[in-house]
Amino acid sequence: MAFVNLSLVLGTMLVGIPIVLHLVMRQQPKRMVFPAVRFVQRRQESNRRTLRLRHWLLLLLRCLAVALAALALARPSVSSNLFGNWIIIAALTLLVLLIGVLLLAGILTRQGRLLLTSLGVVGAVACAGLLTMLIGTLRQSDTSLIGDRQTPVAAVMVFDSSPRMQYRHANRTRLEQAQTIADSVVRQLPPDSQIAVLDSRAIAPVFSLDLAAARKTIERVRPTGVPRSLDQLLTTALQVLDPNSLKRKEIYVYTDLTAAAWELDDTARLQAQFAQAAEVALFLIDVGVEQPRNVALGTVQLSAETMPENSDLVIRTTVSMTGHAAAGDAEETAVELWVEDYDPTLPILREREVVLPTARVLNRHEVALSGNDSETVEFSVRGLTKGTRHAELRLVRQDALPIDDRRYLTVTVCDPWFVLVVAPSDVDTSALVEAIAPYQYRLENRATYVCKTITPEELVNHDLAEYAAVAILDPPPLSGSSWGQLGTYVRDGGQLALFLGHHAGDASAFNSADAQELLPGRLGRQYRVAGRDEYLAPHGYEHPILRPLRSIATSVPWGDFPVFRYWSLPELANDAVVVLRFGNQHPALLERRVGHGTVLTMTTPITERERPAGRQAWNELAGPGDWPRFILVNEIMRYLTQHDAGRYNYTAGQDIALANHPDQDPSRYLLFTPGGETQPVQARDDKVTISTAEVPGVYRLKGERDGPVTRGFAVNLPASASRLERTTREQLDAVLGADRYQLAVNQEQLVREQGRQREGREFFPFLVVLVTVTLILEQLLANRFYRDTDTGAS
Amino acid sequence: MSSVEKYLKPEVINQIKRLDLRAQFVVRGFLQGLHASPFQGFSVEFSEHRKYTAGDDPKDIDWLVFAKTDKFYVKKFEAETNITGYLVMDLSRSMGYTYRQDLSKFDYAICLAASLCYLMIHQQDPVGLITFDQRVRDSLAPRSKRAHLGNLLSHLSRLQPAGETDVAHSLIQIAAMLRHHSLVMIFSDLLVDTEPVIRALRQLRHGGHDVILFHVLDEAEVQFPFQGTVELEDPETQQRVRLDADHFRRDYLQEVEAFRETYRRACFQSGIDYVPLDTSMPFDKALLEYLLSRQARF
Repeated sequence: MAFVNLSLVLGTMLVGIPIVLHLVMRQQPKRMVFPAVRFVQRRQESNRRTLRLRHWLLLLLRCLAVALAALALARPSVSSNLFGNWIIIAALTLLVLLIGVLLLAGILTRQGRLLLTSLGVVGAVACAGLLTMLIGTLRQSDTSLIGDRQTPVAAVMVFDSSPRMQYRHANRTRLEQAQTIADSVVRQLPPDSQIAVLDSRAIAPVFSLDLAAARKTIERVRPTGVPRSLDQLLTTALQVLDPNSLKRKEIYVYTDLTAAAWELDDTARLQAQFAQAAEVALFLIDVGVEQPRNVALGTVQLSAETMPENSDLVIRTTVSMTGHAAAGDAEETAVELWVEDYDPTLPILREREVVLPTARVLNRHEVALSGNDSETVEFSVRGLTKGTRHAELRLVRQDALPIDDRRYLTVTVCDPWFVLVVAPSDVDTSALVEAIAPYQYRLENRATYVCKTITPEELVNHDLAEYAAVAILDPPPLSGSSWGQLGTYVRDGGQLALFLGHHAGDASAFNSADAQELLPGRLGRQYRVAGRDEYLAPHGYEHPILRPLRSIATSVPWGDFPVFRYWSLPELANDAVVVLRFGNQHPALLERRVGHGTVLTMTTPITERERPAGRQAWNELAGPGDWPRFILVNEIMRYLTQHDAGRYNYTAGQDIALANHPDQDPSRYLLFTPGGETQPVQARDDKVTISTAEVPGVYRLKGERDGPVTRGFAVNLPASASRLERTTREQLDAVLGADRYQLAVNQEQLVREQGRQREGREFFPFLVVLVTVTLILEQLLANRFYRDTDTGAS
Repeated sequence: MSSVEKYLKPEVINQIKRLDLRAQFVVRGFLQGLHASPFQGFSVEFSEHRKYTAGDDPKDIDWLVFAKTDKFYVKKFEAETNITGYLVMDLSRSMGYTYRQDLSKFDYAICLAASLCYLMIHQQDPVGLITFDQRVRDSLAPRSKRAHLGNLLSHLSRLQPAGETDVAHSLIQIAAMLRHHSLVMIFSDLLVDTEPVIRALRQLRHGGHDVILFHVLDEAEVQFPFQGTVELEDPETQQRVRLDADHFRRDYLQEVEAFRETYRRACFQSGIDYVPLDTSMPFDKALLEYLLSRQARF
């Protein structure tokens, strides 16, 4: 507790005046003869007690009035966060006084012992509460700082520099507005203050040398694509402030108060931290807009990131609207797809300018949105030529928040994958070929796979190196050299798919050492199933092959495609993984890594005719309506051929790793960032790793290996970056603790809150009210006590 | 207000020093203020006839009426209309108290007694005087002659309030003294314990006497006009009490009222006329009370 006029506290000594008047100035009685003394005697005792009580009560009120008036003029103030405590203390003091008066009255008027005892107990409890509260509050309060505006401050300026802060209102982005306010805050900080500037990148800052340096740092704050939550920033700020030796510590948070900036699900942690650092004052400066309006493009979804030439690329995104006019009042906008021309010589630095390939509008979708709804937009692109291709989705209409008006995407277009299909002549290979490369697509030259079919006999001495994958359908027992050839192929990175069937005949041929190198385990007997009760029964859908089925898992009619016979595998190799099982938990599809390659083995064929001649069918997987098999086959082939296809589309902040084959790709690149900057990048461990891609846009890598090589990737902001819903006061209270922070929306309010925080909260108005109440009470009591006199005399 | 009626006020009558004049003024002023004469009941003149019944004294027969109507009627006799009055004066020191220093309770009582005395002698009622403090001090036998008035008044004017008093004992003595049924008019402030006094009053009443109790208090004793802290001293017992008069007034007035109420109730039960008076009250109240009481007896 601090006083503006400390000397006036001495004024409380004037309390002595009424006491002296009461004790010393007591008038001497007039002595007179009066025969009717007998009427006086009887009532004299009780009268004297009442009289004394009234006198004491009046004396108490007068003393209280004098003391309170003196205290009010001394203008005491306490730090804002302890204000509540002091109010409670004052209330408790009044309670104790009241109980004291009641107790006195009870004793003087000789009330019952029970009443007096209970009053005494209540009074003692109140006294104990008052003492505890007083000691606790005094221990907490550091009054040396209150009331002095010129004490140096250790301040951390925390900027929410998330992309949302680029929201433009009144022709200023929110970040600019924050910087302006911060600049004026720094200007009016006391000299010798220490300032650290922290933005959403959450790099622990150091205190600037002087205020001018701090202002420079504030000017340099730029939005970041990878914002940390304000919770994390505040934790960092507290850590920075903790060792500082200055006594007054303040944190200024400049934010648009969007809900996305806070971790609203874990509120207790930060609240506890702030409760611990009670000396730190927290100011929230709300630079946000009350009702933001925004049209945003959502996350881009691509049908594939790596695709063969001529195949279709499907691009899907959502257009959503925030805070626009009421429903029914549709606003129209359009989304354009811009695709860059392919030019391996670009980008290039020409006269310090980065020259980029030209982009053209390939397609355009009109969108009409109303209210807070969203709409999905889909583009289909065909005929992209080979190479790394960059494209962009753009909203035609500009709005207040430009960061989500563009979405970037990168795909790599390559040759189709060559697949060697090995099958005995009586096996129908079309079941596989038509599934992965349909006739129509083959005609139009846009099939993803180019299939070549040979018999197992032709496999010997067939050059496998050019094939992305080899699929062996219902293999007969193969010669040792064939197994050896396949083994070499797989170890060198080849992909092999085996669909075992009735041609396998004797299992022992597959249990040879050469075969077992590739197979997932020793083949047992052919397992027969009576009836139609056994079928494929995927359990989890974590494996990439099953992932496309995950969303429709419950509606896949596996039961319509029963399996009657399959090869049992009593012993599995240590490194074999079961991808898919039958209902009885026997393995149906297994994966085994061999060298650099992968072998997928299915224990029942996928090419079984419905009624094969001379024997029973092994399954009905290829029965009518066999779309699950279609998907399964396609996913198996995709998994085999594209498992190492790179990712080219990232979210800001993610670590980026592009595969770099040392025998095909350059080892050094020049990185062109979307901001037009360049930096050299070195490939290491067959990878190009970039960890600084925070700005959304297209990043291009350019290297030299037998001519220019261009690669690249696209970085987008997460969709949450443009969520503009505001936090409510309740949420803030939950995160920071009620009364733990001061909220200001402009500079004047901030100055006021600062004053309140630094000068504490004054008791003056409360004291004046108390003085008034006391005086009124005194008057009322005095009037009531002496009214009898007046009426009696009249 | 007519010139005579103003003498009913104590402050006016106080300017007249001679007691006989005081009494005369009071009574004249009083009689002039009355509209209907209350004297009818005990007039010595003829008031009514009654049919003669056997047993009546034949000498009471009004022969003039017999001559006119040929019927026997009797007249009332003087002896029946006369009443013997005793003025009983309390001589305690407290009776001499006066707050305003002009008319003490005793003066007031004397003046009232003299007026009554004057009134009764004029009606040919015999009046006597008894004074008491601890016990009966003096007594003048009742006479109805004019000359007796002078004796009474001169005796009254010589009385001085002094010493302590024992009202109850004195009243019992008086009850024993009085032979005939009489009208006993007691003038006292009664500042003693109530119980013995009430018992004595009952005893007096039981003796067949009509009793009028003139309870005379000082104006200050009734109104308690003190202010601030005062120390009060009882003149008889020298007891001292210190108190804050302002706050005590209400309690005091309640006490006085309760005290008077005690007597009022006790007197009502015993058929005694209780007349509460204070020194600021006009005399006519007391006189009227006497006359009404007198009238009720016939």
